[in-house]
This record gives sequence, structure tokens and C-alpha cells, in this order.
Amino acid sequence: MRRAFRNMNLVVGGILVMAIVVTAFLSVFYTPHDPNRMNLSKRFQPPGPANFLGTDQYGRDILSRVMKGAVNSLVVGWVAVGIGMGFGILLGSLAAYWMGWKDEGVMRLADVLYGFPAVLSAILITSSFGPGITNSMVAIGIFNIPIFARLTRGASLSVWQRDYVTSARAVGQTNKAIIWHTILPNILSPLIVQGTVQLAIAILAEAALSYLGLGSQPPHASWGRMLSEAQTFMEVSPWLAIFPGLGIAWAVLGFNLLGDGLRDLLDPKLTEARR
Amino acid sequence: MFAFFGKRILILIATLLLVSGMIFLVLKVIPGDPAQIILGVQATPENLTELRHKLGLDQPLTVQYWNWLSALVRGDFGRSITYDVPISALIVSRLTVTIPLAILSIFFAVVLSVPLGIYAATHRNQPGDYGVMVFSQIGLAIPAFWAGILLILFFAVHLQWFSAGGFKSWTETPLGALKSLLLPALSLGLIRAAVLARLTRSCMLEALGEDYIRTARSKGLAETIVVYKHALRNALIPVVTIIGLQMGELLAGAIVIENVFNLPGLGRLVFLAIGQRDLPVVQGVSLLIAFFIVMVNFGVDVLYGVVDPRIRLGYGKELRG
Repeated sequence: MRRAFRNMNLVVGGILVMAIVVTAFLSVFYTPHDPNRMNLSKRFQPPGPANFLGTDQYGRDILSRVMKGAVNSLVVGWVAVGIGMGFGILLGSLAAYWMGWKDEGVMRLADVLYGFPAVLSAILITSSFGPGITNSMVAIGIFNIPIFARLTRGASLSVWQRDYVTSARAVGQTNKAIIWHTILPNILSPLIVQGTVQLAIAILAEAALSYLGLGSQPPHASWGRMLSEAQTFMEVSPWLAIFPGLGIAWAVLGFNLLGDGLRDLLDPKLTEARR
Repeated sequence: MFAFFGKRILILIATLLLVSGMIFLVLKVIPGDPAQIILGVQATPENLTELRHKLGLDQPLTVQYWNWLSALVRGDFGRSITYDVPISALIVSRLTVTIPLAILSIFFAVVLSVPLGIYAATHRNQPGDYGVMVFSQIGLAIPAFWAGILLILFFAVHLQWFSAGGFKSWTETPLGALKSLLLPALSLGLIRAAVLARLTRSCMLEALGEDYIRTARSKGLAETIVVYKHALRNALIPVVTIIGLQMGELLAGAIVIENVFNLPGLGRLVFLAIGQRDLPVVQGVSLLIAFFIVMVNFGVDVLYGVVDPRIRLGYGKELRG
């Protein structure tokens, strides 16, 4: 426990992430104003007491929209990483168990997906199946699958060689039970660390997609879309282009630091090797 | 040696077939009939059938895929539906924007990151080192397109040194063209620099801990020679590899950045083509980018095999048991 508090990355990352999560939860029940209500008499208000972060081209409150944007980013991030983890762990565990040509086939497929730039593929997928929050989650999720598949396979391979797996076999456990009760718990730490880092990447990808108009659709608030709208009005109200970007940077920085901190905490050997 | 190359080439061919098949299939799902788009809403059913036949759209998917692939091998990407010109010509003209953009952003990334990484490694655990690490963490957290918007805000709106977007052609004013690429390249380069500074730092630290560095120091060599001639050269090998492998990400990043700055490059071409349902253009450009990435990965793989015989001979596989 004391080691956790001495770990700066973990503490700072944890605080940043906590702040975003609390903001997102809070915004479900309370925002200073209705984030989607237009008020044309209050367009382009600079930050002030009535609207803490100002208003946009429709007179909507920026603070409320940035708060709602946090929900959007977190939900897309979590679902996308969830899809990637679910399928990736399944495929990786099976590949490590199978070995031989089936393993080779799964891993080559993972290599192909891994090598392809995620943003381009996500653009292809969301534009084929239509823009929207669900399709962007699926698109980002698909490109998380090979990352978790490779990680799971690599980590499981060495666990399969351990004596306690041999003894589990000796007492007659089925392969399914060994994977579920012995292999997976032993490779959980690298998966958690990678999951945290992938969350940061997913939030960045979602922002890029919604900036291009392929993510969540108006009037729902998303940080990327707010930035693309802000670009048109940058000369009149530059603050529109600042706060949603700060939201993205805050969240990504938080998850990146938390990932680094968790790695130091859960896998001290790796950290020493890195230094 | 031959077995190693043979296996790599087989994997390369399989990968290319798989990638092209995936791109072909994903884009077949796009709603909208290309024949209807070309002829417009006034088209008669007879005209539509005729054009579908001419474009080969009435044939089975496998035949369409085969025709597309065999034309590609001959260098024929087909014709753009929107612009009605050969796609290869379109791609070549757009590459005059995207390639200089990519080169310029790598230039910015390297010029910024390598000195920062060296400085951090040689001043380990000092304020300067922490500064570089903070820069690197912040750079990793900022999306390139937001960096682009902030640069526009500062240099175009506030200082008015640059225009907020658009591109002046190379033939008209080469300097103007270069100037319109500076901000987009800087926004891509800054983000890359964050990654590379961190990598340079850790590679330098590793190199500085090696025995040959101790030997060089004990010979009485000046510290600058030890750092720049002995450590840096060895530390740069992984850095250069990563720069090469990041070319794909850079091209993908260019799609977004070209939209931020309204640059007529490959990224903007493919993005607009998706909106216009210009299927052949989307297919051609995606395949080109994918082909490029697969080739870079193949090159790195083969070079490693040549440089490091352990990889070629498959050592390390004993782990799999």
C-alpha cells in the first residue's frame, strides 16, 4: 500500500481518472445548464459567472457539454476496449492452447489487423456501416482485438510451461478449467496494464472519429465534434477550441499515467528492466 | 537462408491477399449503387442495367474481386466516379502534398526529439530530464488534430503569420507550398516527437550502460565523443526502426490533419471519396496505404533476419514447447 502512494504516476493518474469518472457520473444527474438547449440570445458568450466556460454558436453551455462529452468518451472507450479484451483474450488463450497451424493462422490474422492503421480502418468501417456511436465503438474495438490476442498468447505460453499447470493436469482438470482458473488469473496484471493504456488510445481514436463527423451524432455532445464545430468560429470565440481539447488531453494523460503506474506496481521486474 | 526468405515471401503474399480481400469486402457493404450515383436520379432502368454491366457490377463478387486484383497488378486502379479521371493520376497528384507533409513532419519529430532524448539521458533524474518526460507525457495525450487547431489559433488567428488552411501548388510558389505545409507538419511532428523523445532517452540510457562505453571512457575519450559517437550511434538503431514502422500511422494521421488544414492530399481525397461514394478511389487509396505498411513491415522483418541470424534460424521458439 505504501508503495502505491510513493508511485507518482499511479497517484497523479488515479486522481486525473477519478476526476473524469466523477464528472461523467455527475453529469448524468446534474449539469449547470441543459447541454442541448439552444439560446440564440446568448450565443458566443465568453467564460463568465453565468456560463463558467462560455457558450457556443447556439448559445449552449460549454461546461455542461464538456461534462456530457466525458460520458461519451468513457463509454466509447470502455466498450471498445471491452470488445477488444473479450475477443482478444479468447483468441489468444485458444491460440496458446492449440499451437501448430491454428495458432499460426490466428496470429497471422492478428498481425494483419495490427499492422493496419486503426484510424483508417475505423474510417472505412464507420463510413460503410454508417456514422454513429455504436459503429465507432465496434470499429475501435475490432482494432483492439489483435493487441490483446498477442499479449494473451505470449503470456499464456510461458504459464502453460509452469509446474502448477502440470499438477493441475495431473489432478485431472479439464483444459477449459485450466485456462479459466489457472492461466488467466496468472496473466491478469499485464492485461490490466494494457487495458488502461488502450483506453487512452480508444479515447483519442473516438475524438478523431467524431472530429471527422463519424462518431456520435448531433446534438449529443462529444469532445471531437465540439472541436470541429469550434474551428469554424475560432476567430470570434477561441475558447470553444480550448476546453473540449483539454478534456481529451486530461482523460488520455490520466489513463496513460495510471497505466504506467499500474505497471510499476503490478510488474516491478518489467520496470527495472525498462530503466 | 532461402527457407527464411521463402517463408517471409509466402506470408507477404498471403497478407496482401487478405488485406485486399478485406478492403474489397468492407467497401462492398457501403450503401448506394455506384451506377445510380454516376447517372443521377433521372436515369432510366435500361441505362442503369447497361452501366452496371459495363462496370462489371452484375458479376459475382469473386469475379469482381479477381478483375479488380488483376487490373491492379497491371497498375490500373480504375477511374474515379466523381472526377472521371484515372485514379492512379489522382493518387500521384495528391501524393505531392502527402509525401512532403510526411517527410516534413518526420523532420520536425527527429529534430525535436533526438536532442531532447539525449539531454534527458545524460541528465538523468535532474530537473531537465523530468521536463522532457513531462513534455513527452503531454505530447502523448494531445490529439494531433487539436495540436493543429491550437497552432492555427496561435499562428494564423492571433499572430497572422500563416493562413488557417489551404494549399498553394508547388508549381505556382514552391515557398508558398512549403509554408502551407509547415503548421500541419508541425502538429503531426510534435506528437511523434513525444514518443521518440521517450524512446531516444531509454535507448541512450541502455547504450550508456554498456561495457564498450566504459571502455571508451577508460581510454580517456572526451565525454562528448563517448556520448555522440559511441552511445548515440547504437541508440539510434531502434529509434530509426520505430520511425520506419510509424510511417503507416503517419499516413493515417495525415487523413485527419489534412482535413484540419484543408490540404488536398491523399487523406482528404479518401475522406471526401467516402462521402461521395466514390468506391474505386476509396479502394485504391486504402490498398495503397495498406500495401505500403505491409511492405515496410516486410522490409524490417527481412533486414532483421539478415542482421541477426538468431531471428532467421528461429531461435527462441523453444519457449513454445
